[in-house]
Amino acid sequence: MINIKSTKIQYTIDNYNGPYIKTHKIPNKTCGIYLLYSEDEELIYIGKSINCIYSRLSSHFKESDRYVTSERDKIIHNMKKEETYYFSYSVISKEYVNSVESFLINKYKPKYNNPSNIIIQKLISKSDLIKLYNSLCD
Amino acid sequence: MNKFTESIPYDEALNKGKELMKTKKYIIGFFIIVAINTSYRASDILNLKYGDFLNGNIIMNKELRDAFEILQKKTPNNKYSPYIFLSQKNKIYRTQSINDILKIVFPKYQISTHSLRKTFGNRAYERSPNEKTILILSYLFKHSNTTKTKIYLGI
Repeated sequence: MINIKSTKIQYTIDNYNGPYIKTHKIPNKTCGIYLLYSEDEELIYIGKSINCIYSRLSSHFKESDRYVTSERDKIIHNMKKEETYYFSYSVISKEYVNSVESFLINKYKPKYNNPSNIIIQKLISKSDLIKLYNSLCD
Repeated sequence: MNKFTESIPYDEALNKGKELMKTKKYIIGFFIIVAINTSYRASDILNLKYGDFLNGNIIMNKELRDAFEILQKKTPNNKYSPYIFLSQKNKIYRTQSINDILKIVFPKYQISTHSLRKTFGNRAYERSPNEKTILILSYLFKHSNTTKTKIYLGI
């Protein structure tokens, strides 16, 4: 179970479900984040979906290449299909889903999430951003 | 032949935005100014609320601050909705309708809502053309690597 506490909101993710085959348990048309675990219960991926968690999650396990669009999907696509994976999910409102996802990725650094963004984030300070924004209208 | 989305020169887009801010279509004018001064996608901009600007969630430069002040004067008490980009039907604009409106506002260019995002990137790179700017832009645009950013901006 993961408790996420922030100044504005508090979420509890405790819907720990069985193997991925049972993903139909997720209610349809829900916005939120999902955490994917390996068989050894290691957190391997954190993702979000705005329209439907079920379809986003199951797209990782589709046989067809049609759903493989980005680099990270390719990695997940190559995971061994016969292995068992576990997931948990939390339904979160649209306005917070981005911030909760990036907060979790930065905290747990799962191996299949894109690490480059985490590294870049460390290199850039807020003053750099303010400088860039102000330079536009100089 | 493939048609690529063109970037609009920053000054031209800014002047057009300021012009529209003085008319009844001030919401479209404000959209243009927000789009060229931030890195957000059109769909993200349309979901912005007054509170996001007031709380300091968004980094604002001088032009954006001025435009927001004008907007606040035009809509002093918006009791009905916290959202900014509302159409005449009091609903949030769809990205597609913004796309159509922009094509009328800038008839000379082959544009879409991404044009204004490209304007932001190109202007930032013009001001300081170095690798660090590309790195910051790729972070702001949420691209997975800097090569994608270069292709996006056509550098």
